[in-house]
Amino acid sequence: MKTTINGQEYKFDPRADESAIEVLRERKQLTGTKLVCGAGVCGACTVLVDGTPMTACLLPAHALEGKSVQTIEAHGPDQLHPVQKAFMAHDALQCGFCTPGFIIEAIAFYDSWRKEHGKKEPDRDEVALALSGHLCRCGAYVGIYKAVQRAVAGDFDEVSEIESPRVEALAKVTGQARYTADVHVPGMLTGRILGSKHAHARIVRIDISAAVAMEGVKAVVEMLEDKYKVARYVGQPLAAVAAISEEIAAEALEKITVEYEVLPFVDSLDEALKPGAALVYPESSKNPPNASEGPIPPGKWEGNLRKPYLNLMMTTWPGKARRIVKEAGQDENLVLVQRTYRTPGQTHTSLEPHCAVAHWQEGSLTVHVSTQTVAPLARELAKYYKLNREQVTVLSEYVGGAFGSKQGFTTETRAAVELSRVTKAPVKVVYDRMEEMTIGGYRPLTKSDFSIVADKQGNLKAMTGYFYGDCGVAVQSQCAPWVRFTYTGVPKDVKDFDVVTNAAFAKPFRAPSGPASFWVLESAMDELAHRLGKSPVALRRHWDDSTIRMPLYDWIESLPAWQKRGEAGASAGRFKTGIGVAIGNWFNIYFSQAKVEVATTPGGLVVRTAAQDMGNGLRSVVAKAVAEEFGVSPLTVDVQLGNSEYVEGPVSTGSRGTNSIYQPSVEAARKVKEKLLANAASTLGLKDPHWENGGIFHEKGFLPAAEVFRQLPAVSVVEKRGGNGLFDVLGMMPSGELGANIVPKMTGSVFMAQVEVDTLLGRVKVQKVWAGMANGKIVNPELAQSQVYGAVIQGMGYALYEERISDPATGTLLTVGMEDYRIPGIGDIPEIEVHFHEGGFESVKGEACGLSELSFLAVAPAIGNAVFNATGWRPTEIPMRPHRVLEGLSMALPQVQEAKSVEY
Amino acid sequence: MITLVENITDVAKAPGEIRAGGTDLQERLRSRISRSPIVDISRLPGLKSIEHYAEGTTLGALTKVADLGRHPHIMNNYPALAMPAQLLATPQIREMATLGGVLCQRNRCWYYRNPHFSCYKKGGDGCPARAGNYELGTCVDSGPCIAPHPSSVGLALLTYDAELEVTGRGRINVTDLYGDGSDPTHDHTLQPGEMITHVYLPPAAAHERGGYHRLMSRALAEWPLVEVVVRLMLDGDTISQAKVAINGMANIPLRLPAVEDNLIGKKTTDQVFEAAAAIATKGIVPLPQTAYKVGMIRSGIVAAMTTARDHTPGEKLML
Repeated sequence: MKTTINGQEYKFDPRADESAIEVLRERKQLTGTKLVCGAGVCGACTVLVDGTPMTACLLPAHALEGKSVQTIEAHGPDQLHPVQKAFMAHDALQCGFCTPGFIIEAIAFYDSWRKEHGKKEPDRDEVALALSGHLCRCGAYVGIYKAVQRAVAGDFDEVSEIESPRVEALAKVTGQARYTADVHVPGMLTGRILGSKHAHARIVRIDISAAVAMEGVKAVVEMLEDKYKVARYVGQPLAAVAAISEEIAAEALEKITVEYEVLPFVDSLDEALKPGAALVYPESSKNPPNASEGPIPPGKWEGNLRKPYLNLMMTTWPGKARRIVKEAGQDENLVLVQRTYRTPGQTHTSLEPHCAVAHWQEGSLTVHVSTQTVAPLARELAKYYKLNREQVTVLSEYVGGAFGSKQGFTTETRAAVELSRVTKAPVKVVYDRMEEMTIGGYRPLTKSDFSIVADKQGNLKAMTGYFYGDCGVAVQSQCAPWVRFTYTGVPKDVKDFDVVTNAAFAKPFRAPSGPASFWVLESAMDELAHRLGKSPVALRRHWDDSTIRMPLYDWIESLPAWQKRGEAGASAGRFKTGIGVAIGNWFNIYFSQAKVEVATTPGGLVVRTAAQDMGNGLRSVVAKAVAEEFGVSPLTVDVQLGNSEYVEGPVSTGSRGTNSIYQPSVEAARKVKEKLLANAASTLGLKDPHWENGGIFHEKGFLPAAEVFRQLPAVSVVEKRGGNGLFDVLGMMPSGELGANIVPKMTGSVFMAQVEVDTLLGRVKVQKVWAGMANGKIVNPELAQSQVYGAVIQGMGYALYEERISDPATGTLLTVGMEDYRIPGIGDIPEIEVHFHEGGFESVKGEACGLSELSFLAVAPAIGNAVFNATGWRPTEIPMRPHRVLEGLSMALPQVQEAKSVEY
Repeated sequence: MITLVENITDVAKAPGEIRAGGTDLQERLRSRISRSPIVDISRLPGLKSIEHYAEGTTLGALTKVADLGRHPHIMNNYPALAMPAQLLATPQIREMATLGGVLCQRNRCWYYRNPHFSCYKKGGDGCPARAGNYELGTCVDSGPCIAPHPSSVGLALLTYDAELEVTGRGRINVTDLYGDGSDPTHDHTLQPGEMITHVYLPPAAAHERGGYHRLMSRALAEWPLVEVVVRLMLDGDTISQAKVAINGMANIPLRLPAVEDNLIGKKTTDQVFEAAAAIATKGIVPLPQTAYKVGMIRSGIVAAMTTARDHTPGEKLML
């Protein structure tokens, strides 16, 4: 069969069921085209076939006969299309995994629009329709809209030099960025994992003989890590196979026979708490996985319920709090809001699935892995396999999204290493989408009983909150701390409880437990303001014990949309609009031991640190910090990350990247500069050298930076961040492997949302979100803004669409694809206005604090409160999918209730 | 195994599942839901066509969905077909999927699509959704399988009383393609070896207005909870004829004749639409998990009728 790929003829003989994606990625190693959902939903694999965008995952390889295929590789760095330049300039990408697909589609749109409309700028709806077959999990849609609109309008037709705020943008818009999923090592085997078919079963026997006997199968290893040999959720890894091809590995999995002794299971939080419920951990020694980033405090088990002793630290006058809540009903000067709230399991849905390529050789272990924790993972691997730290190398140059799910020594890595250890060949394990959605991680489900009391004058009196978190077989949902540390100074009895179920384990997800916590607190708070007839902003200002949000309240109150908001439920007609506000409050963490190396080479500046960039922009933060010191363009700074051989940098969790790495980068650059100046005097004999405007000024003239690096001997400085001086005493809190230091002052946010509710169809459309952020200095405004956009969009998904759903009869996850697990698409994106109120953290080194998690917290409650303002119906359960909205409205609105009382 | 069919008479001889655009089958092959040999018909000549005659319009089965959505003849004369063809799935899928393929696609039930479950459609003898979660399922209990039919184009063809040319069987009405929903093992009634070659549409109706609505949680690119196609033939602002069809309510696309009859001779007012839509759900007994769809069915019908009345013909439809 003959086809043409990027202008070159290609002959091949496809398998019967082969898709075009395999032709491109496996036969041709054109890895710019990404495989994500495998079902035509996400568009990451979009290529042009005779000029028309098609999803290569569903396009039969046979359909390529006689066709001309164009992939992102046709638009390399020397042949950038205006669309690519626009994506770079408008920061229309974060992790970059969806980017090639979006760009291919946008190029086709550019051509067709130009033909019909010339350079007229398309409106948002036109762009949304054209790009509706693409999904971006980081939430880069705001930049994508702008990039496509401005590219089509001609802004980039004549531009040759593009400065992107994201230093690796060029590699990402050209498909050159090599992710772990793209790694190909000669002689590499494919590993696949066999998961448990049952939600709870003793594994009596695993017979691998038929699989091992297959031609092309190189190894089969056991994967079950349970001392009682019990599988406790569907999909729990039992065994793994390495074979010479994907097809053989898949067939081999089917040849493994597992003898199960099926045990009773519980599939939900409510079921797990019923008397006589099946126990997830019937054994006396329980060893549940940890769904949080902190250590597991001791706790007490009662059936499937676990009560951590940490709760004692979360309460203040708990007895008094309970008494006030109990008696509030009888006291006419008090107002009580008492509700039960529910939040869903939210799947991380990184577009690059969990994947690893491990190569175990005599005396060394090299692992390419899509991870957020390059340095600690190398340590962990060395410890687990009893190797010296120097024998282990972890590589992770580009990470296609993670959001908390890719920390530490994860299952795909274990499978790859185990299989490589046996075969001594490189082994690649990539989760398919079903595995990614099932065992890749999710935010815990919660059910919360929450009460809040104020007096009629609006003084906060007490809160009680009992938060039940369902992390599957894991523990450590932690909502209580956020309620404890927000609106402080009143009696509070707030407690977390873990309820284990026979489901895959939850993992930390961007602001772990925060979004559920603020959904409860801020929904309740808004209801209380409503009952008191007080402005919800004024009341928050009155309760808030932190000064950090005060300027943000001022900002919200200055917004015309806030001033013009109507009474709850006053909006008339089918489409009702409303405004809602909510706040967020978050820890400010850094890693005092973070190091960075700044060095010069004859070719220029090189910066190295064993950290990683998952699309959050760490590379660009470091490049900018160093470049500004030298007065050169950040694009000339070669930032090398994702290699455990480098000095140890921060992990990408807990919003600590910028906070940990920015200041040492600046200081290392300064010291390198000083050394260069000293050398300029000593080796080149320059008099009075000083650094200015991108080079060395001296008595006799100017030596530009490039010349300085070329002429002077190479220098290198390693700088450690260290603590915060005075705050070290107060704020240092060592926390195990991942290393965290906590600044006692919390960062703050105030968000406002405007929604339109279609009361006929039950659809909530978010029209605009105003994001007020107070997290100190903003180091890189464009990227900081992109991070906030992404958080708003993920938060919107949490509020409106995303929900893990399992089959109650078997405990099997049903939302295993991106069709049924719904993340926001381009047509759902509201206008987003970001307002940074800088300052307030002068005592913190670098004065910059994290923002990734902070910007997620208030999104869902601001939307929920806006829905209440629009309709008079108070949502307590998310996501607000149409059926919940219609059900809710039917109780709130008499006319809908009448319409709903049908003849059944 | 794959057979690349070059001649239409060979289709009946080749064993296996027919593949045209591949948008449905490739996914099921990847997940190993289907392990059938493949009969690839994409190279059959002469089936990519839109031809109009005095007695109507003939569409070749290999015509791309995108071509249906943008062809001026279809947009001007068969707006209720063009509209779903412009909005179903994603732009890329519409460029790959064929008319015959979307009519015969398998359903989207998350039990059927999940290799962990057995069901009627996979050779099993039960429906796991009934004992499980079917919140995306049919509103009424219309047969052993409670997954809605996925074909938006099939729904539109229903409102045109379209006929299909099927190899070995001749011309059948589109309703015969879907049967009555009592056979849970298939999503259509074609026998192995049979395939649709052409679709026949009646001549364009005078003063036709098309309406379409997909009820989804997100704005675009989602399988609908409820989906409605409406054709209104107008005499000024009076409805002279109406065709209304709905997906998501039963396990086959349904025409709603009682709703249609109620509209005839009436004005295109909101009140008329609401009264007619109410007839659609009169007396129906919803399944417990999908009772929420009862209101949606009425809302969807009203929304589609409103589009038929207000939408400027020839302009792109936004939901």
